[in-house]
Amino acid sequence: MFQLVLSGLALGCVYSLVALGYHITFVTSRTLNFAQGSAMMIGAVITLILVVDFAWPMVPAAIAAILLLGVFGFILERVAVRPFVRRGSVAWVMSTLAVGIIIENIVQLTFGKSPRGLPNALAQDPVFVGGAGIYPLELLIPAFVLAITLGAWLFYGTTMLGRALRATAFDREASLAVGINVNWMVGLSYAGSSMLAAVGGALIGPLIGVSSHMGFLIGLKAFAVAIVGGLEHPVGILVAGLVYGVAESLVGGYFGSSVKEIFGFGLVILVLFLRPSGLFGRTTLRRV
Amino acid sequence: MSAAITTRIWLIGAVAALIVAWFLPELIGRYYTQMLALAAIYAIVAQGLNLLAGYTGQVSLGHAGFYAIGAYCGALLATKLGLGFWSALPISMLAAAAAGVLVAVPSFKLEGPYLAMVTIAFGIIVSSILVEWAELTGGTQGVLNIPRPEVLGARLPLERQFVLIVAILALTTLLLRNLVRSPWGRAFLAVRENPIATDAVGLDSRRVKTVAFTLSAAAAGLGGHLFSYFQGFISPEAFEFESSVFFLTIVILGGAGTLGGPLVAAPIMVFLPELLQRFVDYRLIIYGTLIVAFLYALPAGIVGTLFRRRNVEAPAPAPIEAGQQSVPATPAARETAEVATVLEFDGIGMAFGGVRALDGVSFAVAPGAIHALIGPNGAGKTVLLNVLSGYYRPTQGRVRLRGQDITGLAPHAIARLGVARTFQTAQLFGGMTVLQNVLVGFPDQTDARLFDSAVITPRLRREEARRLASARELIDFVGYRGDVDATANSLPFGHQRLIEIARALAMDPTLIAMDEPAAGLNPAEIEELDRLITRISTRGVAILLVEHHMDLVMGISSRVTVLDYGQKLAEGPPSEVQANPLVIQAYLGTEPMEEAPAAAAVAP
Amino acid sequence: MLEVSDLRVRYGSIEALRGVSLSVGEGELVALIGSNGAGKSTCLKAITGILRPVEGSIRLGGEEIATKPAHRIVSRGVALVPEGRRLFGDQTVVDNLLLGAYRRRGNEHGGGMRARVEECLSRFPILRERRNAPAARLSGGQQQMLAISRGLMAAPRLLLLDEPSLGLAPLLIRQVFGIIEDLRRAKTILLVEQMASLALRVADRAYILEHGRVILEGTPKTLLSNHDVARGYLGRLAGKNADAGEPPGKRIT
Repeated sequence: MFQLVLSGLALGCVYSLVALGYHITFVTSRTLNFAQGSAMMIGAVITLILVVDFAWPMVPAAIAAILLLGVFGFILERVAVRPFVRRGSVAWVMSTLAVGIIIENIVQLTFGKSPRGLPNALAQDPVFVGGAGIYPLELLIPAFVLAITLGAWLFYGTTMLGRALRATAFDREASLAVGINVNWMVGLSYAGSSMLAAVGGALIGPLIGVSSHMGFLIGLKAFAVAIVGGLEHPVGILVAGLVYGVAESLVGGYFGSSVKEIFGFGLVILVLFLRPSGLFGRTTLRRV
Repeated sequence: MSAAITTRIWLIGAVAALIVAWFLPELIGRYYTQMLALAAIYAIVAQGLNLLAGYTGQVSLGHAGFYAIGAYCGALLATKLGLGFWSALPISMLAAAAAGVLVAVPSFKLEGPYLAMVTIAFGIIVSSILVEWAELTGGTQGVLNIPRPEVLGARLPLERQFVLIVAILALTTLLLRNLVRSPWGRAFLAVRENPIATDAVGLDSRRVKTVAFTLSAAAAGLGGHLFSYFQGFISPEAFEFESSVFFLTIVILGGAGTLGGPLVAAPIMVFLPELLQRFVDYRLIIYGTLIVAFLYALPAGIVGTLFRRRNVEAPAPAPIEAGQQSVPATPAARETAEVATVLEFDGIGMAFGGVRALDGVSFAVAPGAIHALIGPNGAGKTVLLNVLSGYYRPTQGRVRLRGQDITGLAPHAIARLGVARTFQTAQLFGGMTVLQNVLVGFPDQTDARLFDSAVITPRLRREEARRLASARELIDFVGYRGDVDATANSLPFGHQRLIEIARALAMDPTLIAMDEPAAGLNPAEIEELDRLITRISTRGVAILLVEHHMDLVMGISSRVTVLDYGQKLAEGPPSEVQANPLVIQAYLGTEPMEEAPAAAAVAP
Repeated sequence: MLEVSDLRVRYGSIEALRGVSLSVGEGELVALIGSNGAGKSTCLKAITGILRPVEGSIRLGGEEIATKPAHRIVSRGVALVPEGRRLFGDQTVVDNLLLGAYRRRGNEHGGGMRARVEECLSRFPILRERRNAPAARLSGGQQQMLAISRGLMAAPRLLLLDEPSLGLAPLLIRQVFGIIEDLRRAKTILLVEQMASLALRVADRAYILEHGRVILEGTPKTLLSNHDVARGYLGRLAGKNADAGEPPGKRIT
């Protein structure tokens, strides 16, 4: 069981990471990047191609994937989100969803349907911790995510760009008043969100294999995590992701994989029923 | 084009479709008949989703779940219990409808992405159960050997099944058409267009949403049931998330909120892979690109763009003329004549976090009076109105309407009790016409049974005719001379105000609370407003008027209450209040006299 | 320095400004007064670029800025202190000030920015004391001081103040206007205020806006003695200082 918990923790961290991507774009622009799952998948795919086909070492490959996805996110916002937001329409939901579908299928055609392994030294030989066999990578992931969270905290807290992003999220009009280029900030938030997804993909690839379809369910669960944690509460999202990952792992381990989905999504509905703004959200007063 | 003619067109179209369906299979062969039949089934599901997402604005990405419930119910009832197509049909639809009621509940408090999440989760749970509960559902194998539908003892061949499906589609569409043209249709649109205004006219949006979800789920269940019997076998593959996206795509492609949309888009979505036979691998990519392209270029969908309501750009704004002078007192007015006060604020306090927006505000509005509420910016006037309307629950004090305590009631309940409201920015149902906006105001329309609405009984016709006449009278009364079929958000600002007032009057209110009705109006329009408010008062309706335009306020009010920093500063007849030095100081800001605590707020 | 001609701005179907023309000379403090909904804030937002005018021209130092995006206009030297302060409540006093100079961050090193922050803080000792407090925790008056300082951080050529008295107690209003008085010597200011007499006390010139148009313009002395002004504010109240006969002040409409 301990093993299940640890694996669940690792997967949960990845959910949180991808979920934070939803959070970032939501607070900056009140839109959501529904291509997030696909972004994660591409991150894993690019990493795999560079490592396996071009014999790059893991780290540079991952970095390349992350940077490429940053560009992707920026373009995505410009092409599939901003034109609709500008008109006051919510069609960006369908359009980002559609982009996700398009990407998944392009990858499927070029990459093939079956999963490929992403070899990684840290995911080959299990070590034994407290009687449970676990890959070093699974232990490393939470550490990574912690480091990223710390890095984000520093970024947002001490750099001008970070402050500007927070400002845009807090009050768009005031940000315009001090001369922040709000459009750029939104674009950057999409870039950042896709980059986070790419990190998630590179981290989880070695553990579960890379396939064109891997992004779909994880993207969906990450969305659930983001909602349950509260779209505006990064700490809530981290916690929700960990809890979801561990709970899912335990249920899946004892009851099988379909039950795991039923349980997971059932839990989501239950939480939203009791706390419509997420676990940590506060309902805002309606201003008339 | 008059309503009667379009009805005839739809009826003729339905009959024509049946006739074509009868003879078509011979011409086009089995293969294409099968595809058209599928398209018709998808259209049925899409019609239901259209009602929910298009008309009521509740986007569901989990409709495959209801579809699956209908399909598996039908399939299992046939294979395990030997029930026939017709006997199983109501059960399938009921099961799906029950699920619809359940999913509706989260929609009361959730919007946008949160609601989408719940529908997605629902869809995934259903499809996971289909796989997991193998003893019942057959797991990944699915259910086989579902018998074909029978009519008069004979099992229908493919060609006749096709006719049956088309007939059901036609019936569904016609019933739906009746529904959206009835008061319920207006209620759905209202919920979609403007939740605040929905409350303000006394509509219970929860009830409306529940009905929308239930009907929509029932339609999906119906489609699923048909699907089972038509295919002869079903498996979980057809009921995954992709199917939900597929259905939503049909709705958007055809045009959300149009009746013809799903009818046009479903065949396209089914035949597209055919045309792109060579590109079958690229199918989803093409779908995806189509969605984005359509969303961008034709946001209203195919039918929505082709049949776009002439958006009547009001020409040089029609001059606002004086309306009728004498109108008999309405029943509500007669009631209030017997009560001492129509509205009473008793010690109202309102705090937001640490900020006291209102502190111990007490005053009363007399029957038939025009009572003004004035004060500098930030004094708390709008907050008080929001407390009255029920959008805020006061932290202290009570509000009484004709002696009855209404503190803390839901906004729509307060509206139903007789408190109408107009807002600083006119809260109309933008996408609906002027006439429809006023019609929504009439009370008790959705108390009509759904059956009446779907079938348009003579009683409904009579009621609608009555409402229509009253609506026109009210529109005339407020002085609007423009096109009553113009879309509300195409109206110039002053006209929007008038319609909002007409809608408020339609509610037959005891009191109308008006929040800065003169804002943004030019002096001529203000003068007309002045006369309109007086006319309304003559009808016996009490008015609570929040305003900055002192000419207007002092000219027509019988009594004025002044607020400053959330407290009552002065009260009395206009002349008294005008001469009050405290009031003058509060407004013009001459010598500050005392040290009041700061009202700390970051952003308004 | 600022030349606005025939400005028209819409909010959806509402025409908020219907052809406004005004000017602010270098070193002047010009007030824009009028009742609620007259279009004063809209005017400032159009100048800053937050709103785009449908028609008309806005020239800053001779350069046309009406169609420029907001962040470029700020770079040109316009700073807005928004209505209701609109501070970044979750960030500290210091952070808010740093963000005020956001457009200039490329031109100066960290050291230069920090120095200016210190300078701003020394002007308002109370802010210096609470330098690391989140802006949302400050009192109303402190927030207004911070908002004005934030605007000054950009060392703007033109400072726009939108209803600085909003929501403040009388004593604090006096304080804030004292600060504005100090500023007028060094800066060019366009001040929007609902409280007419406050604004007229500090202004060199003023415009009165009504229904999106300028209806009156002049020096404070001439405007205060105009009974139309008093009438505009309290209905048919006979202006206390009204002169019978020819109304002074330049009438526009």
